[in-house]
Amino acid sequence: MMDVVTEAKAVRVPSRRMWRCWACAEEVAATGEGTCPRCGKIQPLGAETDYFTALGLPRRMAIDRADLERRWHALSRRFHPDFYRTGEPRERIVALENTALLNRAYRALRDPIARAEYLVRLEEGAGTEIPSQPPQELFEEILEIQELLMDYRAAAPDERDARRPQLEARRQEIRREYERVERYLTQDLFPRWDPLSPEAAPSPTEKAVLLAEIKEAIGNRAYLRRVLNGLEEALSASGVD
Amino acid sequence: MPYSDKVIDHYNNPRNVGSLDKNDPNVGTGIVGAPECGDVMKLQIKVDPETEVIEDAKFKTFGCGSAIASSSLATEWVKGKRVGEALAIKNTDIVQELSLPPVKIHCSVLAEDAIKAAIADLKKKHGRKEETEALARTG
Repeated sequence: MMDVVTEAKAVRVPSRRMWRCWACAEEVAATGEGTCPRCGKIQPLGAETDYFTALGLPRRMAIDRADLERRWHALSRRFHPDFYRTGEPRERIVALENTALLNRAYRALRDPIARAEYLVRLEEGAGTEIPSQPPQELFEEILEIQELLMDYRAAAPDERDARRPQLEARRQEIRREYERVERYLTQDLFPRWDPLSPEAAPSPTEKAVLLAEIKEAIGNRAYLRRVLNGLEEALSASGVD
Repeated sequence: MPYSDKVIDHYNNPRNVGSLDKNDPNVGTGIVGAPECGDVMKLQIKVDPETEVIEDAKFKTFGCGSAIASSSLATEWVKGKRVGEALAIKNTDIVQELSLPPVKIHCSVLAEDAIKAAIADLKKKHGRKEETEALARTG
Protein backbone atom coordinates (compact mmCIF):
# COMPACT_ATOMS: atom_id res chain seq x y z
CA MET A 1 0.00 0.00 0.00
CA MET A 2 2.74 2.43 1.02
CA ASP A 3 4.81 2.02 -2.14
CA VAL A 4 1.71 2.61 -4.25
CA VAL A 5 1.33 6.01 -2.61
CA THR A 6 4.98 6.86 -3.22
CA GLU A 7 4.66 5.85 -6.81
CA ALA A 8 1.90 8.33 -7.48
CA LYS A 9 3.85 11.27 -6.05
CA ALA A 10 4.91 13.75 -8.66
CA VAL A 11 8.54 14.76 -8.91
CA ARG A 12 8.91 18.23 -7.56
CA VAL A 13 10.92 20.66 -9.64
CA PRO A 14 13.24 22.33 -7.13
CA SER A 15 12.64 25.92 -6.00
CA ARG A 16 9.52 26.49 -8.10
CA ARG A 17 5.82 25.80 -7.61
CA MET A 18 6.06 23.39 -10.50
CA TRP A 19 5.79 19.65 -10.90
CA ARG A 20 6.96 17.34 -13.62
CA CYS A 21 4.23 15.37 -15.35
CA TRP A 22 4.59 11.74 -14.32
CA ALA A 23 3.75 10.61 -17.86
CA CYS A 24 5.69 12.96 -20.20
CA ALA A 25 7.99 14.88 -17.80
CA GLU A 26 6.54 18.25 -18.89
CA GLU A 27 6.66 20.98 -16.22
CA VAL A 28 3.21 21.55 -14.76
CA ALA A 29 2.10 24.36 -12.42
CA ALA A 30 1.21 23.00 -8.99
CA THR A 31 -2.03 24.97 -8.81
CA GLY A 32 -2.90 24.52 -12.47
CA GLU A 33 -5.74 22.69 -14.12
CA GLY A 34 -4.76 19.33 -12.69
CA THR A 35 -3.91 17.99 -16.15
CA CYS A 36 -0.69 18.09 -18.10
CA PRO A 37 -0.88 20.73 -20.87
CA ARG A 38 1.21 18.53 -23.17
CA CYS A 39 -0.09 14.98 -22.80
CA GLY A 40 -3.38 15.71 -21.05
CA LYS A 41 -2.80 13.16 -18.24
CA ILE A 42 -4.25 14.03 -14.84
CA GLN A 43 -1.74 15.17 -12.24
CA PRO A 44 -1.63 14.45 -8.51
CA LEU A 45 -2.88 17.32 -6.36
CA GLY A 46 -0.27 16.17 -3.88
CA ALA A 47 -0.83 14.81 -0.39
CA GLU A 48 0.72 17.92 1.18
CA THR A 49 -1.58 20.30 -0.70
CA ASP A 50 -3.83 22.10 1.76
CA TYR A 51 -7.59 21.87 1.35
CA PHE A 52 -8.01 25.50 0.34
CA THR A 53 -5.43 25.20 -2.44
CA ALA A 54 -6.88 21.86 -3.56
CA LEU A 55 -10.24 23.54 -4.16
CA GLY A 56 -8.67 26.72 -5.55
CA LEU A 57 -9.82 28.91 -2.65
CA PRO A 58 -8.00 31.59 -0.65
CA ARG A 59 -7.32 30.81 3.03
CA ARG A 60 -10.38 32.66 4.26
CA MET A 61 -13.08 31.93 6.78
CA ALA A 62 -15.81 33.43 4.61
CA ILE A 63 -16.60 30.88 1.93
CA ASP A 64 -19.58 30.90 -0.38
CA ARG A 65 -21.19 27.49 0.05
CA ALA A 66 -22.54 27.40 -3.52
CA ASP A 67 -19.13 28.28 -4.95
CA LEU A 68 -17.50 25.60 -2.78
CA GLU A 69 -19.97 23.00 -4.04
CA ARG A 70 -19.41 24.00 -7.67
CA ARG A 71 -15.63 23.71 -7.34
CA TRP A 72 -15.88 20.37 -5.59
CA HIS A 73 -18.24 18.96 -8.21
CA ALA A 74 -16.19 20.22 -11.16
CA LEU A 75 -12.93 18.81 -9.79
CA SER A 76 -14.57 15.56 -8.72
CA ARG A 77 -15.82 15.10 -12.26
CA ARG A 78 -12.35 15.75 -13.67
CA PHE A 79 -10.73 13.12 -11.45
CA HIS A 80 -13.58 10.65 -11.12
CA PRO A 81 -11.98 7.17 -10.84
CA ASP A 82 -14.65 5.69 -13.14
CA PHE A 83 -13.18 7.61 -16.09
CA TYR A 84 -9.76 6.05 -15.53
CA ARG A 85 -10.75 2.47 -14.90
CA THR A 86 -9.08 1.36 -18.11
CA GLY A 87 -6.19 3.85 -17.80
CA GLU A 88 -2.60 3.29 -16.80
CA PRO A 89 -2.02 2.11 -13.20
CA ARG A 90 -0.54 5.48 -12.24
CA GLU A 91 -3.46 7.35 -13.70
CA ARG A 92 -5.86 5.22 -11.66
CA ILE A 93 -3.91 5.97 -8.49
CA VAL A 94 -3.85 9.71 -9.21
CA ALA A 95 -7.61 9.67 -9.81
CA LEU A 96 -8.26 7.83 -6.54
CA GLU A 97 -5.92 9.95 -4.45
CA ASN A 98 -7.16 13.24 -5.87
CA THR A 99 -10.77 12.21 -5.33
CA ALA A 100 -10.05 11.22 -1.73
CA LEU A 101 -8.25 14.53 -1.09
CA LEU A 102 -11.09 16.55 -2.64
CA ASN A 103 -13.65 14.74 -0.49
CA ARG A 104 -11.64 15.41 2.66
CA ALA A 105 -11.23 19.03 1.61
CA TYR A 106 -14.93 19.49 0.94
CA ARG A 107 -15.92 17.91 4.27
CA ALA A 108 -13.44 20.05 6.19
CA LEU A 109 -14.39 23.34 4.53
CA ARG A 110 -18.16 23.15 4.15
CA ASP A 111 -18.90 23.66 7.85
CA PRO A 112 -17.61 26.94 9.34
CA ILE A 113 -16.50 25.38 12.65
CA ALA A 114 -14.71 22.49 10.93
CA ARG A 115 -13.16 25.06 8.56
CA ALA A 116 -11.83 27.08 11.50
CA GLU A 117 -10.48 23.93 13.14
CA TYR A 118 -8.66 23.13 9.93
CA LEU A 119 -7.29 26.67 9.65
CA VAL A 120 -5.91 26.45 13.18
CA ARG A 121 -4.27 23.10 12.36
CA LEU A 122 -2.81 24.52 9.14
CA GLU A 123 -1.31 27.51 10.92
CA GLU A 124 0.07 25.32 13.68
CA GLY A 125 1.53 23.02 11.06
CA ALA A 126 3.21 26.04 9.45
CA GLY A 127 4.92 26.79 12.74
CA THR A 128 2.64 29.46 14.21
CA GLU A 129 2.74 29.12 17.99
CA ILE A 130 -0.87 29.15 19.24
CA PRO A 131 -0.84 29.22 23.02
CA SER A 132 -4.25 28.31 24.39
CA GLN A 133 -5.32 28.01 28.00
CA PRO A 134 -7.34 25.01 29.13
CA PRO A 135 -10.68 26.21 30.57
CA GLN A 136 -10.17 25.18 34.20
CA GLU A 137 -13.48 26.61 35.44
CA LEU A 138 -15.43 24.81 32.75
CA PHE A 139 -13.58 21.57 33.62
CA GLU A 140 -14.64 21.90 37.25
CA GLU A 141 -18.21 22.52 36.19
CA ILE A 142 -18.18 19.47 33.90
CA LEU A 143 -16.85 17.24 36.69
CA GLU A 144 -19.56 18.56 38.98
CA ILE A 145 -22.20 17.68 36.39
CA GLN A 146 -20.55 14.28 35.94
CA GLU A 147 -21.15 13.67 39.64
CA LEU A 148 -24.81 14.69 39.32
CA LEU A 149 -25.17 12.35 36.35
CA MET A 150 -23.61 9.44 38.24
CA ASP A 151 -25.89 9.97 41.23
CA TYR A 152 -28.86 10.29 38.92
CA ARG A 153 -28.11 7.03 37.11
CA ALA A 154 -27.54 5.21 40.39
CA ALA A 155 -30.76 6.52 41.96
CA ALA A 156 -33.96 4.49 42.23
CA PRO A 157 -36.63 5.47 39.65
CA ASP A 158 -38.77 7.38 42.15
CA GLU A 159 -35.73 9.23 43.48
CA ARG A 160 -34.83 10.25 39.96
CA ASP A 161 -37.92 12.39 39.58
CA ALA A 162 -36.78 14.50 42.49
CA ARG A 163 -33.33 14.95 40.95
CA ARG A 164 -34.64 15.71 37.48
CA PRO A 165 -35.29 19.46 37.84
CA GLN A 166 -31.69 20.00 38.90
CA LEU A 167 -30.39 18.23 35.79
CA GLU A 168 -32.88 20.09 33.61
CA ALA A 169 -31.60 23.38 34.99
CA ARG A 170 -28.00 22.40 34.25
CA ARG A 171 -28.96 21.33 30.75
CA GLN A 172 -30.55 24.69 30.02
CA GLU A 173 -27.57 26.51 31.46
CA ILE A 174 -25.09 24.48 29.40
CA ARG A 175 -27.19 24.85 26.27
CA ARG A 176 -27.24 28.63 26.66
CA GLU A 177 -23.48 28.63 27.14
CA TYR A 178 -22.99 26.40 24.12
CA GLU A 179 -25.06 28.71 21.95
CA ARG A 180 -23.18 31.72 23.28
CA VAL A 181 -19.79 30.18 22.38
CA GLU A 182 -21.05 29.28 18.92
CA ARG A 183 -22.28 32.83 18.31
CA TYR A 184 -19.00 34.22 19.60
CA LEU A 185 -17.09 32.02 17.16
CA THR A 186 -19.17 32.62 14.07
CA GLN A 187 -20.14 36.25 14.64
CA ASP A 188 -17.20 37.77 16.52
CA LEU A 189 -14.07 35.72 15.88
CA PHE A 190 -14.47 34.34 12.34
CA PRO A 191 -15.11 37.72 10.69
CA ARG A 192 -11.88 38.99 12.26
CA TRP A 193 -9.80 36.37 10.45
CA ASP A 194 -10.32 37.39 6.83
CA PRO A 195 -8.98 40.96 7.17
CA LEU A 196 -5.77 39.30 8.40
CA SER A 197 -5.05 37.82 4.96
CA PRO A 198 -1.38 37.81 3.85
CA GLU A 199 -2.00 40.86 1.63
CA ALA A 200 -2.94 42.85 4.74
CA ALA A 201 0.43 41.85 6.24
CA PRO A 202 -0.83 41.19 9.76
CA SER A 203 1.68 41.05 12.60
CA PRO A 204 2.44 37.48 13.71
CA THR A 205 1.18 38.32 17.21
CA GLU A 206 -2.11 39.67 15.92
CA LYS A 207 -2.67 36.45 14.02
CA ALA A 208 -1.58 34.21 16.88
CA VAL A 209 -3.81 36.01 19.39
CA LEU A 210 -6.87 35.58 17.20
CA LEU A 211 -6.01 31.96 16.43
CA ALA A 212 -5.62 31.23 20.14
CA GLU A 213 -9.04 32.75 20.80
CA ILE A 214 -10.54 30.66 18.01
CA LYS A 215 -8.80 27.50 19.25
CA GLU A 216 -9.99 28.03 22.80
CA ALA A 217 -13.56 28.73 21.77
CA ILE A 218 -13.62 25.65 19.52
CA GLY A 219 -12.35 23.57 22.43
CA ASN A 220 -14.93 25.05 24.82
CA ARG A 221 -17.65 24.33 22.32
CA ALA A 222 -16.52 20.69 22.13
CA TYR A 223 -16.51 20.30 25.92
CA LEU A 224 -19.94 21.91 26.20
CA ARG A 225 -21.32 19.75 23.39
CA ARG A 226 -20.06 16.62 25.12
CA VAL A 227 -21.52 17.45 28.52
CA LEU A 228 -24.77 18.58 26.89
CA ASN A 229 -25.01 15.20 25.15
CA GLY A 230 -24.44 13.50 28.49
CA LEU A 231 -27.21 15.50 30.12
CA GLU A 232 -29.62 14.96 27.24
CA GLU A 233 -28.90 11.24 27.17
CA ALA A 234 -29.52 10.84 30.89
CA LEU A 235 -32.71 12.90 30.81
CA SER A 236 -34.20 11.11 27.83
CA ALA A 237 -33.30 7.62 29.08
CA SER A 238 -34.86 8.21 32.49
CA GLY A 239 -38.35 7.21 31.44
CA VAL A 240 -37.23 3.88 30.01
CA ASP A 241 -35.99 1.90 32.99
CA MET B 1 -15.46 -1.27 18.58
CA PRO B 2 -14.98 -3.84 21.33
CA TYR B 3 -13.26 -2.80 24.54
CA SER B 4 -10.58 -5.06 26.00
CA ASP B 5 -11.39 -7.04 29.16
CA LYS B 6 -9.10 -4.79 31.17
CA VAL B 7 -10.90 -1.64 29.99
CA ILE B 8 -14.25 -3.21 30.87
CA ASP B 9 -12.95 -4.24 34.28
CA HIS B 10 -11.70 -0.73 35.08
CA TYR B 11 -14.90 0.77 33.68
CA ASN B 12 -17.15 -1.47 35.79
CA ASN B 13 -14.96 -1.37 38.91
CA PRO B 14 -13.04 1.89 38.68
CA ARG B 15 -10.30 2.11 41.32
CA ASN B 16 -9.81 5.23 43.39
CA VAL B 17 -12.78 7.25 42.21
CA GLY B 18 -13.23 10.39 44.26
CA SER B 19 -11.52 13.52 45.45
CA LEU B 20 -8.79 14.63 47.80
CA ASP B 21 -8.72 18.02 49.50
CA LYS B 22 -7.25 20.29 46.86
CA ASN B 23 -6.23 22.83 49.50
CA ASP B 24 -4.05 20.31 51.33
CA PRO B 25 -0.44 21.43 50.74
CA ASN B 26 0.55 17.82 50.09
CA VAL B 27 -2.15 17.23 47.48
CA GLY B 28 -1.50 17.93 43.81
CA THR B 29 -4.49 18.35 41.48
CA GLY B 30 -4.39 18.01 37.72
CA ILE B 31 -7.46 18.73 35.61
CA VAL B 32 -7.01 18.22 31.90
CA GLY B 33 -9.27 17.91 28.89
CA ALA B 34 -9.17 16.69 25.31
CA PRO B 35 -10.87 19.26 23.06
CA GLU B 36 -11.03 16.70 20.22
CA CYS B 37 -13.58 14.60 22.08
CA GLY B 38 -14.64 16.77 25.04
CA ASP B 39 -13.40 14.37 27.72
CA VAL B 40 -12.31 15.86 31.05
CA MET B 41 -10.11 14.15 33.63
CA LYS B 42 -9.16 15.11 37.18
CA LEU B 43 -6.34 13.27 38.91
CA GLN B 44 -5.14 14.02 42.43
CA ILE B 45 -2.16 12.71 44.34
CA LYS B 46 -1.30 12.96 48.03
CA VAL B 47 2.42 12.90 48.62
CA ASP B 48 4.40 12.23 51.79
CA PRO B 49 6.54 15.40 52.02
CA GLU B 50 9.44 13.52 53.62
CA THR B 51 9.75 10.52 51.31
CA GLU B 52 8.06 12.02 48.18
CA VAL B 53 6.07 8.79 47.94
CA ILE B 54 2.56 9.07 46.52
CA GLU B 55 0.47 7.60 49.31
CA ASP B 56 -2.96 8.18 47.78
CA ALA B 57 -4.45 8.97 44.39
CA LYS B 58 -7.99 9.71 43.27
CA PHE B 59 -9.60 10.48 39.95
CA LYS B 60 -12.81 11.72 38.44
CA THR B 61 -13.35 11.45 34.71
CA PHE B 62 -16.06 12.63 32.39
CA GLY B 63 -15.56 10.61 29.26
CA CYS B 64 -15.69 7.31 27.44
CA GLY B 65 -14.83 3.89 28.85
CA SER B 66 -11.22 4.13 27.68
CA ALA B 67 -10.75 7.51 29.38
CA ILE B 68 -12.17 6.16 32.65
CA ALA B 69 -10.03 3.01 32.42
CA SER B 70 -6.90 5.05 31.60
CA SER B 71 -7.34 7.33 34.60
CA SER B 72 -8.30 4.45 36.90
CA LEU B 73 -5.15 2.57 35.87
CA ALA B 74 -3.06 5.73 36.25
CA THR B 75 -4.14 6.15 39.89
CA GLU B 76 -3.33 2.49 40.56
CA TRP B 77 0.09 2.86 39.03
CA VAL B 78 1.14 6.09 40.74
CA LYS B 79 0.22 4.88 44.23
CA GLY B 80 3.30 3.80 46.14
CA LYS B 81 5.62 5.38 43.56
CA ARG B 82 7.89 8.33 44.21
CA VAL B 83 7.02 11.51 42.32
CA GLY B 84 9.97 11.07 39.96
CA GLU B 85 8.89 7.52 39.12
CA ALA B 86 5.31 8.62 38.49
CA LEU B 87 6.59 11.23 36.03
CA ALA B 88 8.18 8.42 34.04
CA ILE B 89 4.81 6.76 33.30
CA LYS B 90 4.21 7.05 29.56
CA ASN B 91 0.92 6.99 27.76
CA THR B 92 2.25 4.09 25.68
CA ASP B 93 2.48 1.99 28.86
CA ILE B 94 -1.24 2.61 29.40
CA VAL B 95 -2.04 1.81 25.75
CA GLN B 96 -0.21 -1.47 26.08
CA GLU B 97 -1.71 -2.47 29.44
CA LEU B 98 -5.28 -1.73 28.31
CA SER B 99 -4.83 -2.78 24.66
CA LEU B 100 -6.28 0.53 23.51
CA PRO B 101 -7.04 0.80 19.79
CA PRO B 102 -5.46 3.71 17.82
CA VAL B 103 -8.63 5.85 18.03
CA LYS B 104 -8.43 5.73 21.84
CA ILE B 105 -4.77 6.60 22.23
CA HIS B 106 -5.69 10.19 23.13
CA CYS B 107 -7.37 8.82 26.30
CA SER B 108 -4.02 7.50 27.48
CA VAL B 109 -2.36 10.80 26.56
CA LEU B 110 -4.94 12.55 28.73
CA ALA B 111 -4.07 10.27 31.68
CA GLU B 112 -0.35 10.96 31.29
CA ASP B 113 -1.07 14.70 31.08
CA ALA B 114 -3.22 14.46 34.22
CA ILE B 115 -0.39 12.83 36.20
CA LYS B 116 2.03 15.52 35.01
CA ALA B 117 -0.44 18.31 35.78
CA ALA B 118 -1.03 16.96 39.31
CA ILE B 119 2.72 16.82 39.98
CA ALA B 120 3.20 20.31 38.51
CA ASP B 121 0.47 21.63 40.81
CA LEU B 122 2.18 20.05 43.81
CA LYS B 123 5.54 21.54 42.85
CA LYS B 124 3.91 24.94 42.40
CA LYS B 125 2.43 24.68 45.90
CA HIS B 126 5.79 23.71 47.39
CA GLY B 127 7.53 26.47 45.48
CA ARG B 128 5.07 28.93 46.94
CA LYS B 129 5.55 27.48 50.42
CA GLU B 130 9.31 27.86 50.17
CA GLU B 131 8.82 31.39 48.88
CA THR B 132 6.65 32.38 51.86
CA GLU B 133 9.08 30.74 54.25
CA ALA B 134 11.98 32.58 52.66
CA LEU B 135 9.99 35.81 52.85
CA ALA B 136 9.22 35.14 56.50
CA ARG B 137 12.91 34.58 57.19
CA THR B 138 14.07 37.72 55.43
CA GLY B 139 11.08 39.80 56.51
